[in-house]
Amino acid sequence: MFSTWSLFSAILLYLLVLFLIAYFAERQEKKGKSIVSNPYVYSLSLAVYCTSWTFYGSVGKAAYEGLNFLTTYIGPTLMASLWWIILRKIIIIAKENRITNIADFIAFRYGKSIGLSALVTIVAVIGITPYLGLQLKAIITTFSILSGKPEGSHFAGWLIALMLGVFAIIFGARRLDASERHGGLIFAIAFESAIKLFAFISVGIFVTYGLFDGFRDIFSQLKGTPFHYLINIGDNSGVSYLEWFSLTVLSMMAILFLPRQFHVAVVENSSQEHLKKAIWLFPLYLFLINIFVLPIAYGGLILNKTPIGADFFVLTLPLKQGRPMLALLAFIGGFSAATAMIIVESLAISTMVMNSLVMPALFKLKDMKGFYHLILNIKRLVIIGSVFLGYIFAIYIGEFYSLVDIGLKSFEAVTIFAPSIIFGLYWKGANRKGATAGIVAGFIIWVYTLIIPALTRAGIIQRDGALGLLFHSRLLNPDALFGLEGLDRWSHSLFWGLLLNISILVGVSLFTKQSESETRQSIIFVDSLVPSTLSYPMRPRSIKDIENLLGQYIGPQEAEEAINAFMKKHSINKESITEDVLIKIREEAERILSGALGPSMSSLIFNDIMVVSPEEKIKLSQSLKEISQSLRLSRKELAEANRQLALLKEFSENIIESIPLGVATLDESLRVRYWNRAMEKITGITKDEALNMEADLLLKCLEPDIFSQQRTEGEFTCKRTAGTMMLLKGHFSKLTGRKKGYVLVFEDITEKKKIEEELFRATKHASIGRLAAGVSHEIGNPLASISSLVQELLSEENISDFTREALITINQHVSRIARIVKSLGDFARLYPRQKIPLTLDEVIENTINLIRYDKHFRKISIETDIQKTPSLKIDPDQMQQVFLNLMLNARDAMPNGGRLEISVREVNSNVVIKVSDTGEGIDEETRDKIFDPFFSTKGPSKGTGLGLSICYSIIKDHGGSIEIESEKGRGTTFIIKLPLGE
Amino acid sequence: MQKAIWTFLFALGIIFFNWPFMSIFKDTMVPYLFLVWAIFIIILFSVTTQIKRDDRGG
Repeated sequence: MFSTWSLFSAILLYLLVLFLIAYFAERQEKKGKSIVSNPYVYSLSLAVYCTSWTFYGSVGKAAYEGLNFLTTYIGPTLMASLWWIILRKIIIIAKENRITNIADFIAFRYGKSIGLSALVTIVAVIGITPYLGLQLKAIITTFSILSGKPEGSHFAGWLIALMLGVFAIIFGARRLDASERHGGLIFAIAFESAIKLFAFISVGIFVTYGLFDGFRDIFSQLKGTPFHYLINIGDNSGVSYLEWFSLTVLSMMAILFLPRQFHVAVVENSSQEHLKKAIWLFPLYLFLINIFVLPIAYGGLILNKTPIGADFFVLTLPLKQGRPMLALLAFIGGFSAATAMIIVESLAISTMVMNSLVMPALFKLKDMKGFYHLILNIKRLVIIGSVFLGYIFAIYIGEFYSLVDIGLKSFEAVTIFAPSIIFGLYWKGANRKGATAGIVAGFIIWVYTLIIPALTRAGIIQRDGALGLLFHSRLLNPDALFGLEGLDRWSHSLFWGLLLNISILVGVSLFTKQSESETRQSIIFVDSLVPSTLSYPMRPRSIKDIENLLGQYIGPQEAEEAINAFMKKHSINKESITEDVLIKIREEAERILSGALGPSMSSLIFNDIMVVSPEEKIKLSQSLKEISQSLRLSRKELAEANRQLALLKEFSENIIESIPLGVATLDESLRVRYWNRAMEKITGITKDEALNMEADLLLKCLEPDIFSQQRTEGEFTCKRTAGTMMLLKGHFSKLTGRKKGYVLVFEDITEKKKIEEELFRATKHASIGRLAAGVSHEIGNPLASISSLVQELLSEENISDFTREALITINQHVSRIARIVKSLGDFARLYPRQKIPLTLDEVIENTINLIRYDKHFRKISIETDIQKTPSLKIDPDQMQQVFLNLMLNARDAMPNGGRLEISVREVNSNVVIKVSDTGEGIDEETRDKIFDPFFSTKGPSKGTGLGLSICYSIIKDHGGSIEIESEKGRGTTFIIKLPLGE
Repeated sequence: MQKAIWTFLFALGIIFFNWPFMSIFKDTMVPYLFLVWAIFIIILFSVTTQIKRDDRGG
């Protein structure tokens, strides 16, 4: 046991350390070297959630009811997953509008209503004061346990309450601008969070490994006791699943809406980025502080064999086991948990009371002097007052309840605010009347179903008194309201409270109108708009007026500094103040005042007293109507524009998809972003395969660095995925604007190029044909005369041998010329022949018979694959000449022998004849000229160079086509297609 | 997108920490609760590392 004075000394020493830590943090902040503004301190400060209820009460709850104490920590863990959506939105709105407490937040949403703000504050004070008392009760009780005597503990409680109040004033109410963060105080709170975690884990390790052989040992020993049911949930346990769910919901609401949580999470937040780490760090803190709750609770039950006094097992177990220093550490841990809560909660409540109750009352006494000092001193008194209110509760009422009971009632109380905040954040239709009615209904349910039964159980209210009739009625029984039985008290109160609160909020909002101010605020909240986007038509008088008004409430020097800082930040020159600038300064001043007095009072002061004339009010009203109307119109227009844009997009995509040109777009890194259907067809690469691929890899035929060369078009021979070659014409253009990149348009010109070449060849043939016809005619006639004269001279008998020999030579040359002329005639088709129906196999057979016994074909094997085809209308002699020419060409290509293949097939509406050899093949250059007249690779003595040209002309004359496929060293194939209609 | 991820995570948490899911593990309730709790914190940690700076509150 410790003496009273040694305990006092320990407490004073601890508070001194706390004071020095806070002071050091503030000094560092002033030097611009903040040790507070970081996510770790922010996360630890959020752990103010873990009060003496956590430190002592969780063990008590676990010893009495089992696992349901965990809901108090699992609920906030679940809610942390929504912080990035909900809490961040609250932080953004609160920061932009300098909102400093939950009452102002709700009032600001519902048209800056002072009445609503006052209502929320009253509910919060009534709901939270017992919670404050709970902390003081824990301190007083643990003081008694450690000192071993109850005497002096009340005095200790009184003194501690006073010291904590002073601490809260020094670090929380030295100035009036409540929106300014309190670095020193928050650092001290974070320090306390670390201390309580360390103390609890120390006791946990002592119990688990010092008194038992670890977790397994404790749990196995517990199974042999009457308390074995405590390790389960549901049937045969201390808690039902419904109660578990209800307590989880309550905890989820508490972590957001408890005034102290709002203060540390929202008001003291210095960066949204800190929230990111807090989302997992804070649940991790909760996890760690709960690891040893069950071992301590169950260890205490095993050792004590009774749950009585379980609330303080953390302290009594080390004490009974002869570890006074560990017990003292536990006491300091519990003390830090309680003090952190008392300091922050009293500060948060005092801000609410000041802004919602005191300031509106003071405002009515307009002739009061020294406003600034008066407000500051009242705030200090309120802080002390709220701490002592808790003290009174702890001394006179708290003894009737367990720690957990008191805490949960406070949780239920703040759940009353949940519907008006959540609906206010996401539903513009929620209005002040609905929120007020909802909160009133929720509060009535809370008092009727939780507080009155609790007071009755404590004997403060008599069940048989005036309220007896109500209690015993079927409909109004507070433990089974409207006849709803079978629920635990938390689920029962939560169900009716939320049901009525939400129903009334929504119902009243639907059937009553919003004021213009509410409409404006609802837009700010739901759309998270900055107020400056909604401009005022109001006319402030001068900067001096604004400064004077602000100075009355936050001090003249502070007001001047704040206005100067704002002007410096926005580079505003005092000499050239426009009306717009004055409006901006006025808005800033209203925000600053909002931080000190709350948005409702700030709005009242600025709008009613100073700068708004009745005419301006009318203008403001009109402006709000216009803004509201224009927002509604904008939304409609936006929706219509969206629809049109979607249609336009679809239309454009349809066009791009249906055009026969391949279209692709590339981003700056030359990766494919778009690939249309034609592109798929041309390249054989699907859209899915192409997207995000580099263009160079997909279209390897493109020249390297083509995009850096600034080329706008070009022709490329590319290989299809099927292996065939294609000729592409590409156009390239650079994308300008925000999205940089390229647009590629490709056209497959393989067929087009072929047709162009065919046309060119046909034109050339036609002109050469005309020339050949002329030459044949002009030479043919004199040649015939020469030939007949030579014949006549040869028939003379009196000619010398020399003459005869000369005439024979002349005749031979004339015959040769005649053959050439005949060939020219054939080429020019001077002698049209009759076409008759005939099957090609006959013509081919006849041609083969002509060459079969030719000695030059001896080394060549002739293979035929001739299908029976329908008869064609052809000139048999000309067609035979075609095949003969091709076969003779094949023979010349295979001087050392080879294989000659001839095939005939009916393909579609054509008869296709292929004549292939295994000769040396033809190179590309020769291939292009092979059908040109007088082109020959055999030399002048071996041919006229008209053979294939004649073939070409004959086939064209029959309406067909002739093509050549050949590669050097791989033989040659001539393909003739003759239409069946011919 | 982020809004959907957080909401999904919240819904998943509600399911895993309530009836009827919890009743599956009635014989190993304590290890189950602490294990799922730890996993949930790890998921929160990994999701927060993906948050983009420019995302505005919901």
